[in-house]
Formats: sequence, structure tokens, C-alpha cells
Amino acid sequence: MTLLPSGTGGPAGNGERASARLSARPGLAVVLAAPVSLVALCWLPRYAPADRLALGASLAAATVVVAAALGGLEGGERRGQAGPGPSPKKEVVAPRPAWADPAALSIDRWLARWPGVAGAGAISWWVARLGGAGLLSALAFGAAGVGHGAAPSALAALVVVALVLVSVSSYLRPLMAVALATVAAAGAVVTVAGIVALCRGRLTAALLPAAVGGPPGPALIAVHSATTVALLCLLAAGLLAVGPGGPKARGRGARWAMSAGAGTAVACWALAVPILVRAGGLSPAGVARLGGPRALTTALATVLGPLAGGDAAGMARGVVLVTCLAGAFGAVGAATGVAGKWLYDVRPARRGRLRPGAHDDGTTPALLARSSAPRHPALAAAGATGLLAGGVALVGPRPWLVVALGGLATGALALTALAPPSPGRRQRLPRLLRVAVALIWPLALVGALAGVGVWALVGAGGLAVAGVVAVRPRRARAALAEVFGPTHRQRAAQLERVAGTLAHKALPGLASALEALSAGEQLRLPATELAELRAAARPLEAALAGGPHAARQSRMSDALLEVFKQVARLAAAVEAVARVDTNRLEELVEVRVGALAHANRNLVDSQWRRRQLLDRTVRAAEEERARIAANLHDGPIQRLAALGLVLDRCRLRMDREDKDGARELVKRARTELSEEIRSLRQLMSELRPPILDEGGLEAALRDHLSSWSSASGIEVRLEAAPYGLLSLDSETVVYRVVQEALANVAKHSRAKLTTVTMSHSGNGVQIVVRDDGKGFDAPSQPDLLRGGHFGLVVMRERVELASGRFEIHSAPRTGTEVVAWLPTITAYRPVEVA
Amino acid sequence: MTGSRMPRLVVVDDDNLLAEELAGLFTDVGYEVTGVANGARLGIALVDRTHPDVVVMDVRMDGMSGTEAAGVLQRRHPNVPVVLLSAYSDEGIRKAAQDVNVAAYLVKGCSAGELLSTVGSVIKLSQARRGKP
Repeated sequence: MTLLPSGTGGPAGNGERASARLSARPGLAVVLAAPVSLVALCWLPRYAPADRLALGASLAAATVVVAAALGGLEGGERRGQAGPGPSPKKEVVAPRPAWADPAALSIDRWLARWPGVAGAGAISWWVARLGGAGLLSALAFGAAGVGHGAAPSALAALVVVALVLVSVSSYLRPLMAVALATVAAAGAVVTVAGIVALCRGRLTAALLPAAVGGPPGPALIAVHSATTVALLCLLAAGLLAVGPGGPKARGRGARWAMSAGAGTAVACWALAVPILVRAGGLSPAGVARLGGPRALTTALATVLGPLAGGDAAGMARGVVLVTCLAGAFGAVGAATGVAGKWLYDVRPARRGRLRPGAHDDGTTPALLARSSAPRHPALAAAGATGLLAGGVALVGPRPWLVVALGGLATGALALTALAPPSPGRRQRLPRLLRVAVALIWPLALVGALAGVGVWALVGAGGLAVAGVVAVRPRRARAALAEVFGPTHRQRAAQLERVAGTLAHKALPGLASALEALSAGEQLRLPATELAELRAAARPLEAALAGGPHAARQSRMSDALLEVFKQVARLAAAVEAVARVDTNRLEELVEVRVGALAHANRNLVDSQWRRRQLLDRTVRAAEEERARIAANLHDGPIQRLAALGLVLDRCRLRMDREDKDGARELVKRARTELSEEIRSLRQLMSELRPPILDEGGLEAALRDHLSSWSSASGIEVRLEAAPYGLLSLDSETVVYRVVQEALANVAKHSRAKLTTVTMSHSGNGVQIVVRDDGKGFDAPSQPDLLRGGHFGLVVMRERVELASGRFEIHSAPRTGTEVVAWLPTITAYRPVEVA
Repeated sequence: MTGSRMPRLVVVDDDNLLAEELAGLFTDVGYEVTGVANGARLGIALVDRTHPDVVVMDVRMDGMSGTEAAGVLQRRHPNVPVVLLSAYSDEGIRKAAQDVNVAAYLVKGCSAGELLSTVGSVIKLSQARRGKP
């Protein structure tokens, strides 16, 4: 007995059409085998019921082989297309046949009213996977003669657990590859050995079962030949399926060979069974052995005799063991793929559509991506059902159950393969199959529970489920959520609500809000509509949170939910922007208003100050001019006029020869002239002290201080240190500042001592006029102006116009300190003494 | 002016030096300077007291200007001509002087001959108006 790994062989498919052909032909073979087997079962009136059941079990086991092979072939196609991380360019457009697309089924909607149906189907696949793996493992161990009694079942349970863990853990993927390579090598050895035996004319002898006593008749030989050929064909097809490169690499011929091998094997079984039945004379035990693993082992040992000699029996047991284990593994893969298909929809992505496995919640099912996903879930389900039936038949406690299961499985296979071309009926049948499978497996479980050794299988299944839950709890939750989640109709209603709210409320509201915002109006988000949208989308989100499968019934759900998310995001962003804008705008307006008010106050103050200064300057200039004019009027003009009169009088006296009188007038004229010259010189000095130009600032200050002290009666000291070179304008500023400061001291301070200090400071000179007078509260500049202290203001303006700084430090009873700093042209550099 | 009473004259100027020189000049040429005042109000009082034939008065003085004082004298003593002597040669001041009917307006710095001639003419004109020889 050769089983093919249905889910582990991984040739990459080359397209949907090739895959469809591969899937259809083995199905046809099964269709041919099934009715024949049923007929055979019905044509066994002369056998005891137990024998008929045993025969039925054999047929079921054969069906299992076929189904597993089909799963392997199709799984390979599927996995090649939906493998992990395919690049977009390599994605194959794989339109699912309409009859295989459950989303298109009207009966789906009908069935979806009862979520438990779909969920039970999904669970059934998992059970099929585990049960099939366990049965195949038990077959393998039994064929290899490992243990007796319950030992093969216990070992099979361990194998199931191991296989499940391997299948769900990406870290154990290399083990799978090693198993596949081993299967391929064993199959190659068997094939070569069979060919050699055939060439040497020993095939007939090899096919003679030792269990059948006496010379074999033609019918018996035919039965054994057909059985062996079928097994070899299945093995060959399986080897091609799992071999390196896959059918795509080997081209269309290899795919035809695989299909031909599978079909031939099934046909041989279909042919052998009626012959076997009609041959008669076979004991029930012999019939069972013909279909059992020991017969296969014996036949293989005979075949391998020419190669292995005395070790042929051991080699045959090893080959059977390995191939059965690989077959179990394949069944696991097939069942996993089917379950994954039901749970997560691992169909390859179409261009421009949402990629499955690209869900933004990161629930890409790696397990499913690498597992097989048969195109015909019913086929794999039926195969797995047959596996279970065969296993139950081998352990033999409940023949009626085996028959029932085998019949149901075969019927399911037939229905699947006989799907009519009519679109409507196509659409219904797969769903019916699923319903059948969903019903089969609970029955099978119940029946298995009553059988001998079935407890081990149940335990293994429990362990496997526990292992899956432990390793992939999220997937387990997703499966449960899918089983008990909303129905298709409910989900459709949710989608409609979300779409309607989006189209008619949320999006128009958002558009209006954005238009208003762009028009400069205040943002008014459609809060009610958005809340309604959130409420409508919440159930959909909850459904999607259970796994991507929740939305698999309609691709629109994915897209729609994505649209909803983006709209919600957009609304939140718009709201945030508007809120930030509004808040910032208000803050900015507040700040700006404050700043503007402050600036306005400053501007008004500044303008007022400048106006005052201008008035003061103009007034001062006018006053200065008036003073000068008055001085000229009262001084030089009067004196010169008087001098003119004196000269005229002198001339008159000279005309009268009054020489003495004339001389007197000349003398007076000379005196008045000298006085007038002195007066004019003083006026000139007041306008611009000449010593400032000729003797420098310090000399001018000393001169002024001396006269000031004499006039005011206040002692004054000048302390001048080297400070560099000031511009002429700056010297004038310093002179005027000191002059004004001293005038203020004389006028207001009641000081006894005043000190004028000039010193180097930074890149300039600092002038300090300090008195020990009564002091005052140093006012601010505006207060200075308001208080009419124009002298101080003019001092500050003069200094600041010369790029200097001006400060007044004073307080009542502490004297006053006027500090001015002005930049120098040449910085002061102390002379270094060597 | 020989054979008759010496013309009597008051000098009003806040510059003492110039006032003294004016008084000396007029004295030198035979006038009787009845008084020298260094302010307008003092000058008016002096005129009230001495009733001179002519008043020679400065324009710009502290307290009251010569023009104002001339107006006052014009009202009080219409027959006493006033000769304004100013350092200003502005037309505005001349016009103001004419408004109060001063007899003459001279700019300081004019020659002694011009001053004496003007004052002599003013006195003659005044006497002619009053019918005196």
C-alpha cells in the first residue's frame, strides 16, 4: 500500500487551468471506483456480513489512498500558488471555479443562518486531518510489524501529535523536507525493484499471496496484479508529485503521468474488486489481507527479493512504514489546508485586489500559506473519512459503522466529481458536500468512540488540538470566532450599513466640513454621522478581529472596512488639524493682540517722546537762536552803535578842535572796543568751546569744571584715565553731557563734592558724574519727559545717537550718578613696560 | 536853534553805555537832555515829568518795548514826537512804529549827523504843528 503525501509535496503549480485538469481526472477515477465498490458490496450475498464489511473496509482504504493522492496533487498546486511571501510578479491568477467558490453559493447564505454548520465543517476537517494521520500511522506501524495490540495505535497517536506540531511550526519545516526526500527515495527503490522483477518474469510469482493456499487461479492472479499495479502507480504518481521540481518543472508530460498513475491505480482497484468478489473461494480473512498492509508487505518483499535477498522482508516493511507515514503526513497537510481554506481563505490574490495574508492586523496565517489547500475540500474530506473508516475496519469492532462511513465518503466523492455543468447545480453541490461532511464527522467520532483502540485516536486528537491551541492560540481563537461569529447574512447587513453610512452620511458630511474649512469657516465635523459610522463598523471590526476569514465571504468587506478605517482616520486628522488650528489661532490671536497692544503702547510712548524731544529740540534751538540774537542785540550791536556815536562825537570835538575831549572819546572808544571783543569771544566760547578743539576733551572739561566750580561754589574733581581716541562728535557729546550734568548738580543737588571720572571700558570710554547731593528717585524715560526733565532726556538721546549708553543711578539721600558710555575710534591699549 | 530855547530831549535805552553816548552827543550839539531812562516805563515817567520836545527811545527793552511806550506817549503827549532807535531794521518793526505814529525810525549804527538831522527835523516839524517859531 502506497500512500501519497497530499499536503507536503510541493511542486509549484503553473496556473489554474492545469490545476483544474489535475483535480478533475482523479476525481473521475474515484467516480468510477465508487459505484463499482458499492455494487460489489451489494453483490456479496453469499458472504457473511462480517466479510462484506471487511471488504468494504478495504474499498474504503483504497478510496483513502486515492483521496490522499488527489489531495497531494492538488495541494501541491495550491501551495505553489499561495506559498509564503510570493512576489507580486509571480502571483498566479487563479480564478476559482464557480462551483468551488462557496461565496457565490446561494445555499451558503441559507446555511449561513446557522453558523454552527460552517464551524462544524471546519472542525470536521481538523478531525479528519488528525484521524487520517492517526489511521495511516497505525497502518504503517501494523504493516511494519511494530508492536501488537494497541501499540500501533499508541505510536500512531504520537505520530499525529508530532505531525501536527510539525505542521504548525515553521521551525520544523526542514523535517518535512527530510520526510519527503525519504519517501521519494523509498518509492524509487520500490519502483526500480518492481521493474526489475517484472523483467525477470518473477512478477507473477511475487504477486501470489502466501495467504491464499493452492495454485492460484487466473482470477486470483488478476486480483493481485491489479492491486499491486495500483499501488505502484499510486506510488509513482506520488513520487512525481513530491519529487524535486514538481510537475511545473517537469512540464505537462509529468503532470499527465501523475494523473495517469492516480487514475490507473484507482481503475485497477475498481477492476480488482469485482474480480476478487466473483472469483469466490476466498475466505474473508484472505480478502481482508489482500486489502491489508501485510499483503502489501509480502508483495513488496517478493518484489524486492532480487535486490535485497534475505533482507527483502525488512526492506519491504521499511518501505511500507515510510510511505504510510508520509501518507499520514499528506493527510494532515490536506486536512490542514482544507481547514485553512475554510478558516482563512488562502486563495491567491488577484492583481489589484487585497492580498490575503496582507491583512493589516498581521494575521497572515503562515501555517496556511505553507500548507496545502485542495481545490476540492470535499475530496479531501471524503478521503479523510475513508481513512477513518479503513482504520476502524482494521481494528474491526463496528463493521456497520465502517460501511456507513465508507459509503458516505464514497457518495461525497461521487457527488463532487459528478458536479453538473449547470451553474446553479454546480453552486449547490459543494455546499451539500460540506454539509454531508459536517454531518459525517460527528457521526464518525461517535462511532469511533465505541471502537477498540479508538480511544488512542481520540486522545491523539485532543492532544493535537491542545498543541495547536498552545502553539497558535490566536488561530484557535480565530477558528472559534469563525464558528460562532455572525452569519453571512448578518455580515452582509453590517456591510450594507457601513457602506450606506459611508456613502450617504459620513463622506458627504466630511466633504462639507472640509469645504467649509477651506472657505475659512469654522470646522464643524459631522459628529453624528461619524458616530453612526463607528457604530455601524464596530461589529464588522469585531468580526475581523476574529481572523481574516470573518470577512472572507465578500472581498468587499475587507475593502469597505479599510475605507471605513481611512475615513475615520481622515476625520480624526481633520478634527485634530482643525482643533489644533483653532486653538493655535486663538492663542496666536491672544498673543498677537497682547503684542500689538504692547507695541502700540510703546509706539505711542515713543511717538510722544519723540514729539516731546522734537518740540524740545526745536524750542531749544529757537531759544538758543533767540538767546544768541538777544546777546547780539544787547551786546555787540549796542556797543558798536555806541562806539559809532563815540567816534562821531570825537569827530565833532576834533572839528571844534577840542583835542582833549576828542582824546578822551578815543580812549573810551578803545576801551569799549576791547570789551566788545571779549564779549564776543565769550559768546563764541559758549557756542563751541575752542579749547575742545585745541586742547582736547580733558582740557576742555578741566576748563569748564574750573569755571563751573567757581560759579557754583561746589568742589569738583576730575579723574581721567587713558581711554583711547574719541571722535570729535563724541567728544562734544561727552562735553555737553558733563556740562548738563554739572548744571543739574548746581541747580538741584545741593551737593558739596562732585567727581567727574573718565575711564576706559570695553571699546569705549565711560564718563561718570557723581555727586553727594540729595539724590532723587531715578525716573524712567517717559517719566522724565512727563516730568519735564528734558535735560536728562536730551543727554540720553545725545549719547544713544552716538551709539553709546546712558544710565542714571540715584535714590533719595544717596546722591546721583550719571553714567555715559561712548565707543572710541581707537581702542585703548595699555603700554607694556619691558 | 540859536536865539531860542534849547530843545529838550529825553533818551530812553536800556543799554546804559549807548544811552550815555546818545546823551553826550546831544549835549555836545546843544540839546538839553532832560533825562536818560534805561527802561520804557521810566522813560514815560520822565516824559510825564519833564515834557521834553522830543524823545529818543530804543525799541527792544525789557518790560515794555519802545513801540508800546511810543503808543502810550502818543496818547498822553501827542505833541511830543518820539524817535525810535532800534537795532532792528525789519520792515515789520518799522510798520509797527508807523502804526503808533512815531516821528522817525532810525537804525542803530546810523551816523551822528543823520541822527541829529532827523531829530532836528522832527523838532521843527513838531514846533511848526504847534505854531511855535
